[in-house]
Formats: sequence, structure tokens, C-alpha cells
Amino acid sequence: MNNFLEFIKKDIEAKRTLVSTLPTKTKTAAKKKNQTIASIEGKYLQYKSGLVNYLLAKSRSFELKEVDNSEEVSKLNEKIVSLEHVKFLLNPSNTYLEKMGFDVLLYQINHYSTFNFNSLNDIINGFLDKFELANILLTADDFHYTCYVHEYMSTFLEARRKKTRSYDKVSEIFEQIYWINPEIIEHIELNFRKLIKLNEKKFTSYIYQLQKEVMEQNKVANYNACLEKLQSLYVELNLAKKETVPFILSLARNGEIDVEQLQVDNKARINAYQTLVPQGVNQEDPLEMEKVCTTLEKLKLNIEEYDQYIQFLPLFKHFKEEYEKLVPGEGKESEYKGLKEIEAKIEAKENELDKINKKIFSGKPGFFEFKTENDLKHLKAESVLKAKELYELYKTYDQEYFKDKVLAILNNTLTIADLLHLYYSFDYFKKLAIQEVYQVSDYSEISKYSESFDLFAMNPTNLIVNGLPVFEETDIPKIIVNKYSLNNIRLDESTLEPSNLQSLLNKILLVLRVEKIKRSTTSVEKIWFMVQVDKIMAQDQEAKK
Amino acid sequence: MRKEEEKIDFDLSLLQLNELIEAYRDINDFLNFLEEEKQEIEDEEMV
Repeated sequence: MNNFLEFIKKDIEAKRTLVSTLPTKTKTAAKKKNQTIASIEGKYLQYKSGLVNYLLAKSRSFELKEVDNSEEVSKLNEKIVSLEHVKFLLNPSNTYLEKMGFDVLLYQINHYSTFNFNSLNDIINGFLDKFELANILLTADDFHYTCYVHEYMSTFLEARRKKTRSYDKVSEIFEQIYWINPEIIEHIELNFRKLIKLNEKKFTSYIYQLQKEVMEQNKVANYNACLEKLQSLYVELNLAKKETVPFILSLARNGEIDVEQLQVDNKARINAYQTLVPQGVNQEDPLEMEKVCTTLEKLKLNIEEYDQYIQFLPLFKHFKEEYEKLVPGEGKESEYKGLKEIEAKIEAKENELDKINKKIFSGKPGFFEFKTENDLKHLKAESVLKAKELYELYKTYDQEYFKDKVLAILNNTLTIADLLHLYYSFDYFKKLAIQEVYQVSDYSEISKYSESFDLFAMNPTNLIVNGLPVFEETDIPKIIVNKYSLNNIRLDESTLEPSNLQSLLNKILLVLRVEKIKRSTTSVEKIWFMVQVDKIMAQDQEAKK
Repeated sequence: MRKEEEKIDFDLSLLQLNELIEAYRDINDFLNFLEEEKQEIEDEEMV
């Protein structure tokens, strides 16, 4: 068997020559050639089958006994999700509005033009569901922002109450109203905003109860204790998420990594070791290499964090442009009254609107009943006009609301970590900023940015952003290079350019993977062999089809 | 193959295992060659 390859090569060569030279000019000669081919083919199919069985048995004997850590990772993830919910509810930076998730719905209804009609129904149902969570059952009487809102919502609530939840009638009514009052959805939004404000106490108390429940369930005494617990869970998760050999093998098997790169003489591997393993380190010494790997694990986390920072750098720059001029100086600042002023304006205008609506709904414009149908028409038009003005006022209100939150924390030492927390706490404004900065109008795309931002903001193991000032320029690549030169890892600043980060991460991962395999019960060669056998088996299965 | 197989030492070195993979590929190529030859004969008979 030791010479099986040699035997096969020679035998194949001889038989190729034989087959190629056999004549086929006559029927008898062709028949004879066919018989010869069939005989050789039969023999070689037997060789192939025996070889496949052998290779498979051998590959199976190399299978790893080490257990994958995916179960541990998923358990830690579950705990983190649960504690993130507690953190979300206890977050001292925002209010019941954000904790109830109304800001998410307000953003959606505010951008209804991006969605289709069915999703508008979902948004309205989303609002109603949240009210019901706090035991507030809204009826048609609660929707009197304008007579059109009342008409639409009466039909909507009727459809919602029915088991079939068919919204066909709602669509019909919408169609009718839309041509008289195209801003109907904006006015539904305003009605919900008013109802949310009106029920503030009930929502606050609901949130308070919820906070008590989740704190008890998760054995957390307060917000800070929750943060501490999360911090240690994230550290544990980072450790558990370190790639195991079975995981590396699965990556190689799925073709997610190039198994050739693991080989000792591979150029990519040689280059990765030259870049990342300090000179003078004995690469055959497991203890020395373990120290290098510990440092590389940290570098990997730093690079991943820096990569996320770069992704959201336009957002941070945007914030800087908007708010740097408002950073309080040393002199006495005049008190900010913007939010209160706009709240007062809204209240006054909503009272005016209320008066008009009362006349419309009671059918009495003053002391006398409507004289003509025209009086009613006029009042309806006036109410729509007032609602339009209110919609504009609410736009200013939103700006002032966020400005108020910003001013509460704004100072010249504000860090990127503070900013991450600010946007994480106010989903509505985070999405608005994403929309503006990245010029996206598709809701699913905005949500993707938003989710990715939250993952970055929520990670308590972030290091770089904690001390990074928003209003000062900082050379992060230089900081990273200097830090790792203390560990004798000489990185070139150009490797930390945004377009080179993935390549650097790949190099780090390659060294970590090779070293992980070297310290295990298997070897790079066995992994290579198993992957090749997998490919052969797949090819064999494909041929049998 | 039976006789050849019997000679296989299950503890072959990895280098030898790699040779087996190469042998598999050679056999596969050769089987494809035989298929093509058969096809040629069939095509000629049709003519």
C-alpha cells in the first residue's frame, strides 16, 4: 500500500495508452474496445470504492472528542438578553415613553410613507397594545383630535375588536377621508402623542411595577448592580466565544476559512506570524506562544471595537457639528427654556383645537345649532388647519426634547461612550440621526444600522471609547500601535487604516487558530485531511445523483 | 483492490494519506477518461 500511488500512476498510464491505441474501425474492434474499457472501469470503480471507504474510516478516526462551546455561549447570551432588558427598563437617562417603546412606534408612524398600508395597521395596533399593557382600554371617544381621526379610529377599533380582524372597511374609510384630509395619519400620530402624555402616570406606574418584577426575577438591586452583572457576563461571553478546535474545523469544512492557509509553508500564515509574533519569541515554546495569543486576543477585541467606532464615526461627527456650539463655557449660562416654551405653545393650541372639536362633535357652533351645512364644513376645515399647525409644533418639540436631553449631559469632556449611551437611550433620535447621516430612507436599512449601533453601545467591555472625547481629535491608530509596541508587537499604523482592518483581523485569527490547533489533540494536517475527505465524499455523492 | 486494501496499514502517516487523496483524484480523472472513450465509440457507431 505504501506504493499504492506509484502503482496507480503507472497502471493508469499504461491503461490509458492501451485504451487510446485500441482500434474501433470495425464493429468487432469497437466491441472489443468496449469490453476492455468495461473491464478496466469495473476494476477502477472497485479501487475507488475501497479507497473512499478507507479514507472515510480514517477521517472518522480523526474526529474530535472535544465538546463545542456553543451551548455555553447560548446560555450566556440568554442571561445577557434578560439582563439587557432589566438595564433597558432601569435606564435612568430616559422616560416611560422610551421604556414603553412608544418612541419606536412614533418613529414608524412619523415615517409612514416608507411603509405600506398593512404596516400602518400594525403600527396603530402596536400603540393600542401598549396602552392595553398598562390597562388602558382606548375607545373611539379617546380619538377626537379631529373629526376625521375620530371617524377613522372608530372603524379601526371596531375591526380590531372583531375576531377576524379584517381591515377592509378601515381601508375604505381611509380612502374616503384621505381625499378630504391627506394628513390623516399625521393627525392620528398627534392623537396618540396626546393620549400618551395624558396617561403618563399610568404608564409610569406600569413601568415601576415592571422594574420591580424584573429586578426580583434577575436578582438585581438597582441599575448599577445590573451594569456590574452585565459587565462580568460579557467578559465571560468573550472567553466562551473564543474559537474551539471543533469550531475551527467546522469553519474549514464549510469553506468559511481557507484550510490551505493553516499549513506551515503557506504564505498567508508566514506573513501573519511575521506581522504579529514578536521577534525573539520561540514559536515552538507553548508557554511563550500562549502569552502572545493572550495579547493577540486583546488586540482582536480592540480592533473590532475600533472597526465599530469607524462605522459610526459619521454619526459622532454629526453630533459634534450640531452641539459643539452649545457646550457650556466658564461664564454663567442662561437657563435653557426651549422645551418648556414649546410645550406651552402646544398646550395652548391643543386647547384651541379642543374648543373647535367640541363644537363639531356637539353639533353646536355657539349658543345656536348649525345654521347651514357650511358652518360645519368651515369648522372642520379650521380644525384640520389647527392640527396641521400642531404637527409643525410637534416637530420643534422633538428637536427641543432631544436638545434638552443633550444639554443635560453636554460638557467639553463628553466621551464617545456617553454619546453611545445617549443615542441608545433615545431610539427615535438615533434613527433620525442615522437617516440623516447615512442618507437612508428604507426602514429595514435604518433598523439594521440601529441594531448594529445598539450592539456596539451596549457592550460594557468596550475600552477605547470610554476615554475618547467627542470634541477633540484623537489618533486612535497611534494609541493602539503604542500600546502593543509595549508587548513587542510592532504594528505599522497603515495596517490600522479602515480599509486594512479586516486584513489585520484575518491575520490575528489565523495565528490564533493555528496556535489553538497546535495546543490541541489534533493537528493542522489532520484537519486538512478531514476537509479533503469531506470534499471527496461530496463529489462522490454528486456523481451518484 | 481487495489485495491492495489488505495491505493498507491503518496507521499510515499523514503524508501517505495525502498520497491516497492524490490517488483518488487520479482514479477519478481516469474514470472520466474511460467515460469519454466509451462516448466516442458510441458516437462513431451512430455515424
